Amino acid sequence: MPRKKILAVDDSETTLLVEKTILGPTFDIVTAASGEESIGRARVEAPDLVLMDFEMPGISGAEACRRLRAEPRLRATPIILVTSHSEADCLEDAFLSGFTDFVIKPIDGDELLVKVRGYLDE
Amino acid sequence: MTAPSARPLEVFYLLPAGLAVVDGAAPRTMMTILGSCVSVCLWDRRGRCGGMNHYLLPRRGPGAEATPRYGDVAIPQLVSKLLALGATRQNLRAKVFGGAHVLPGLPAGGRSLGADNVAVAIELLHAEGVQMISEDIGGTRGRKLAFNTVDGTALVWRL
Repeated sequence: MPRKKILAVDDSETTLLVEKTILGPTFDIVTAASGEESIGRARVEAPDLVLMDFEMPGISGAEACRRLRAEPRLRATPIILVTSHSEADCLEDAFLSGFTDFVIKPIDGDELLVKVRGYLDE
Repeated sequence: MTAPSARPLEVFYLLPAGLAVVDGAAPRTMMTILGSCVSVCLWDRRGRCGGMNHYLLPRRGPGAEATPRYGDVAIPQLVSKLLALGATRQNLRAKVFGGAHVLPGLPAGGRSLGADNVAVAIELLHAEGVQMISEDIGGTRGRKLAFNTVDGTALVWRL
């Protein structure tokens, strides 16, 4: 069975490294360093799930999520917000922008792995 | 003589993985945002206290710290903190919210993180002897929840 593919989007190399370390043994990970880059990567890679930061240079994670949701192939793809912003406004905005769920930084490895596995039915 | 004014309750935002209780001297509207996470809301009208948790995972794994990020920690902790404030198990009432999941093709009632989070709430509230009187669980959308610790009313907005 082919491994499922995750697109990890974050301007922090450290966060991308953490996500790769936690998820890499089980899933194929491709990355993007900005919201803009994530759109092109998603079109080419057709990921099974997206992890997205909220605050990035250029377009925000919310805007990137809205644009990904406009792509027919990504309409039902789980997009999980990975953010240090746990305020109500941020999380509410995230759901209204099309995010599926959220994980608060600092990333808890068990939580991320359980959530990703759950959404990928693994 | 003037009638007491019905002032709105102070709003308290409960962070993910948080837990909070208040007594009758400091009633609150507790608010939180839920995805696959679950909030158990408890209150005791006679004991004049209430509280809420917001857990992310159903059970803590081996070696994990016992924090309210796990349902099997957050639910017993919430009950015991309210008992310490004067609540009784007989008078405590529970409402359960959250546990969304969007996996395409998942059959209704199928296994998911959200469903597992809800299942642990039902199981542990039963084990604690606390009556669950309503729930708004599952589905495919996040929720904004506001819970009044005085009378147990709850408002849910689907996001």
